[in-house]
Amino acid sequence: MLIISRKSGESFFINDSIEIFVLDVGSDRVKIGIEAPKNIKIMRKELKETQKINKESLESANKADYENLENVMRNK
Amino acid sequence: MRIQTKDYGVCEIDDKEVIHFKQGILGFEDVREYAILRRNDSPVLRLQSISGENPRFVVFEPEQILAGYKPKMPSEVLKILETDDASDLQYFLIAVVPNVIKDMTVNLKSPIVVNLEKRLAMQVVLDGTEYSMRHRVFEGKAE
Repeated sequence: MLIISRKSGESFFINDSIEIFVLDVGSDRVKIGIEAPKNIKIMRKELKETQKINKESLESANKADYENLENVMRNK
Repeated sequence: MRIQTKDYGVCEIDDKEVIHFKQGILGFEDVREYAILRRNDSPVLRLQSISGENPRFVVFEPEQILAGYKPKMPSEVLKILETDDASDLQYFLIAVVPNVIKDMTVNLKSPIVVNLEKRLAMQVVLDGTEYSMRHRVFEGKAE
């Protein structure tokens, strides 16, 4: 992984069209700004992961053993 | 309306039972109308697209999973769900049900949040919380 050190207010480029700004550095949070073309998808990792889990849930709903699941949950 | 579902056969859904997702569920943004289905008094619920087709998800009420689930809702969420009182909101947790049921997980970090009164819902990905996305429901329980 490439690692770059930046101070608040500084930025860097990815290709020529995407600029990432470090706007503010707090004690446990960094505020980041992104200038990018509209077609570049930007998503917090938690959202991406949730999307993945939602798809897994749907997959699992297609083949789950519901009778067993209901029994297990009732006896939980 | 009557819908044909994979899990419960033909279901009668009252218009008042339909919940609307203004933004869709992550990964399924095109589908906005769902109903929560419960067969008999089962603890296992379905969040079912009112088309009767997919998407559908196995969901649980939090109290079936763990005690004291009280996620903090950001004010933007309250606004989208058209309430100023978080106690109007009800939560449902999406589950992944593997072949080995004991390995089932639920997503505590991204609950389905519903304002039943207004029939509005959204999936909220909580920020700054210890709640896990893959909470093992049967963790530490003997076989």
